[in-house]
Amino acid sequence: MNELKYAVVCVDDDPYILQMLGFQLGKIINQKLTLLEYFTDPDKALEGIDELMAEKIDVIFVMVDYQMPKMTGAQLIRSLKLKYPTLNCVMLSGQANQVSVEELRSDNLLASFISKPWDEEVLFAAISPIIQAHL
Amino acid sequence: MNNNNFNEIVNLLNNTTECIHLLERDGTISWVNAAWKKTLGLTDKECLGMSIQDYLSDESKLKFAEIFPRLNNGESIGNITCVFLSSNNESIYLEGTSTPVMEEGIVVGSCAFFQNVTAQRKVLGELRQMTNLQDILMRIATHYINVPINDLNQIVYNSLGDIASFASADRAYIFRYDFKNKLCKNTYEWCDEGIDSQINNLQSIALSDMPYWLSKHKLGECVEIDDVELLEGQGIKSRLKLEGIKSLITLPLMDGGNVLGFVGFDLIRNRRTFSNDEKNVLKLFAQMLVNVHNRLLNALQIEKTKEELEQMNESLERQVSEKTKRNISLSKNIIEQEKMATIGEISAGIAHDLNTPLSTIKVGADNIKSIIETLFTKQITLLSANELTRILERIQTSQIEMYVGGLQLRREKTEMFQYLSENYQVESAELEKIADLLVKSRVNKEDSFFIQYILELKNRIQNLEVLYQLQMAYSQLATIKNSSDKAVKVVQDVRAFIKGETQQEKHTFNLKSNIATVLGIFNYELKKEVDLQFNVDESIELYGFEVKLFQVWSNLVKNALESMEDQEQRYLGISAEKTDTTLTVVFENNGPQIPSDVLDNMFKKFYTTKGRKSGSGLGLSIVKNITDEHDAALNVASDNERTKFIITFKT
Repeated sequence: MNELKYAVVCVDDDPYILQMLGFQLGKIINQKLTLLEYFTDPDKALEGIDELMAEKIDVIFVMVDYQMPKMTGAQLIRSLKLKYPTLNCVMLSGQANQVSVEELRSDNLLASFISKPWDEEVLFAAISPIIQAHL
Repeated sequence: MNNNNFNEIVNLLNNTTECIHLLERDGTISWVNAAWKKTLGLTDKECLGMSIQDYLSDESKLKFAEIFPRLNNGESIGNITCVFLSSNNESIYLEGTSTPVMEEGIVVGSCAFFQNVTAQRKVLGELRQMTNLQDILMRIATHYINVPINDLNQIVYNSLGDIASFASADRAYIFRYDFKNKLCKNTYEWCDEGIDSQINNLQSIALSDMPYWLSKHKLGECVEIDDVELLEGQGIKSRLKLEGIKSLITLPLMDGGNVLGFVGFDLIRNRRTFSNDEKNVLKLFAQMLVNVHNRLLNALQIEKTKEELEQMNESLERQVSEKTKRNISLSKNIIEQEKMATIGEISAGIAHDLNTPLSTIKVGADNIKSIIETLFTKQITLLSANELTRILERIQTSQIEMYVGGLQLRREKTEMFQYLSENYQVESAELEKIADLLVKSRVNKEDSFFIQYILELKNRIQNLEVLYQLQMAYSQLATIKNSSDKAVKVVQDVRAFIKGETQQEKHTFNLKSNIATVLGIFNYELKKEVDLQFNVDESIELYGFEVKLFQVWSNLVKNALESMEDQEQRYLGISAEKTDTTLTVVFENNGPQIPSDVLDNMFKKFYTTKGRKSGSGLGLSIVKNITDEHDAALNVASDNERTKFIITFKT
């Protein structure tokens, strides 16, 4: 119970998406070692990630939606990357601003981009290399 | 009587101013006195032995022909007036008496004593002519003033008659020159009684047949023919003779320097020359005709212009009414189009609002498929029917939680492990797995009865696995249902919003759900950091055009969002307040203060402050339009903190 080493964080203002995403991620993530955490509020997500980092838990990746209240996924990723430059950020979005996404890409801030609605295989193909690289 | 006496008498007669002639019975002149000869410009040699008829005018000849038989019968005749023609062809008016000359009781001739009254006659005649002339010109002039155009032809015809009478002419006419076709044409004709009309024969006379006339007329000069017989050149002479014309005069109709035609007078019964005075009158008349002609042209032009103007007016009126009709239908279209434009502007948001639930549905379907596969390939076959029934009952009665964070799960798991190890004698590794599955299946310590049931089962791990999978499947089905509802709502809102004007009738509807429909289609835009305060009481009903009001709310929302675009804190408040007589709806935002000149114009069509950025400039004019249709007052108040749109309906 205390061998918790890793975490995966999902941020989306739609709880249904988090539910679906969680189920799928649960299939390829070793939940004995890895904490799956969800946030509907980007501010809470920032706090939560800070806590995980403080507890020396290795955050494998953060998966964020683009369009959210208060803050876009791009803004969230930029804030995270400022603090944690090596953090892997994946965007999962159906309505992303192309310009912002391109800027993230060109600034090397984006590990992967998955558009909604997504296929499980596409999701796994995008995140498997990130997980592999961590373990 | 002796010779001396005779000579004395002759002397006496020669010295008198009276004109005296002695005629034989047949009118042969046997003697004339000196006054007679002087008056008529003749000598004895020229006149003695000639007939008196040779020196009389045609009219007087007839008169003498009547007088002679009476004289020959011995009758004395007084008060004779006759016209002699002098050697230079002037008319000499003589007045006097004629008496028979008797010899032995037989009439052998006649003797006449005449006074020359030519001068008096002339004065009288001139006086009469002057009076006539004035009369005629006055009459013609007054006739020509302000006659209706339709009557002009008759007036011209009548005046031709008047002038012809004045000129003692038998026929009067007007010809028009047609230089284009090198012709001239008789356009008006007046004929005295017993005179044949010629107008039908004179409709197309080649100008080449009348070069002399044309050249004179072009110079503005008259053509006078005192005696057709004396004309040289057979062409025109034979034509005039054919018409029985003895004399004529034609005067050009001059308009400025141009000759339009001529007016002419024929003498058929008698030959005659025209005095200068007469010619002056005729010239005046000709000028009058030109004026009339010009007036006619002007009048026709005015009439034509008037008709054209009327036609233009009619056509303009028609065009205006067509345009108005089109504008009315256009403005209907514009309102419709503005609505569609709104949908277009927020289509990205609508797509997002549809995409999110559709993503969930799609992923959920995938997930459920994988759950079913897992259930059948792994555990479900190991469970008895009773066990499955129990699991299903548990799932159907449990609350479904959307998602639980990993940290919370871990905490709950620790607590569950603690609880289980205190109450059940199970090996630690298995107990840990049981705790994990129980927590993931959202079973908590309070469900001790169910926990006990599970733990008493032989294949409890399999049961828990099936429970967990089915729990997942059920929660995902619930999510799919919720997401479908969300997608349906988006579509419903959009459909309600773009619904055509099928509901023309006003009816009563709920204000909150009416506004909520619009907020629904703006869901995506409103999610972007807008503090939305939607405080409308659910009980408020409104009587009006439900679909049209969507456009009021949507434009107010759109307007608010656009005005707050560049600021970090965005506030949109929507509230409603009902009194006994009014219903006030307020849309309030914290966008920048609206300048007063913009406030003055903002409800006008095509007024926009957004430049090329966005907006048709119709939004607020449509709001105004629709609130007017509801007889509602629309007011704006803007200060540096808030901008309020206040709509007050009468209830």
